[in-house]
Amino acid sequence: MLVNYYNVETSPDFQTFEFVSKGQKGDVTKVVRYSEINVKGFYNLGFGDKDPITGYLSDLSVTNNGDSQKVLATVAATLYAFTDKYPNATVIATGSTQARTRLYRMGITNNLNEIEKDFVVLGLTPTNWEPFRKNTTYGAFLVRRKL
Amino acid sequence: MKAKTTANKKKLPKSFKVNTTLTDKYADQPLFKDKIERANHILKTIGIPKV
Repeated sequence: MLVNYYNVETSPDFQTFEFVSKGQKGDVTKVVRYSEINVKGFYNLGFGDKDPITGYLSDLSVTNNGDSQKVLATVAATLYAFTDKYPNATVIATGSTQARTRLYRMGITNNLNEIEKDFVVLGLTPTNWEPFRKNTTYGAFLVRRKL
Repeated sequence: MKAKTTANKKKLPKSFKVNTTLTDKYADQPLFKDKIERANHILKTIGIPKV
């Protein structure tokens, strides 16, 4: 999964990452941000496109740059870098739309064997967290590095 | 004593480069505020899983 990913720049604290998607629509700057939330040690994974004119980030943009696998692999690479730095962190990821949540689920499903070598992965059902299972719809995902 | 929560000796992954300007680059933006609120809401209502 992580063989083919983009070059990434990171802030010194490894919480903000930036890379450039290169595809049929041109260059699109993407930003991944891990923000600690109200529960200590839990971080939200935020991911979005940078507007080339305003500089503002949006997680609702649909880029259609034809490189979604490489982009997902790059986000996964940031997760490795982040959890190298914060090995005890638990990361929660939710898609900004149902379609994007489904995309995340497919990305995890297609690489589950590889991911589970290094991470514990949970999925959110309507009522609780459970170990991630293929062919199951989840509203959010939670990952933690295996130590 | 405070528990150690960061590791400093890991090698930077391949194709990664540190850019010090990223620290404050988006400081003027409420980055992914909706998702952070949603994550907080989920943990508050569903609970914190044992991982």
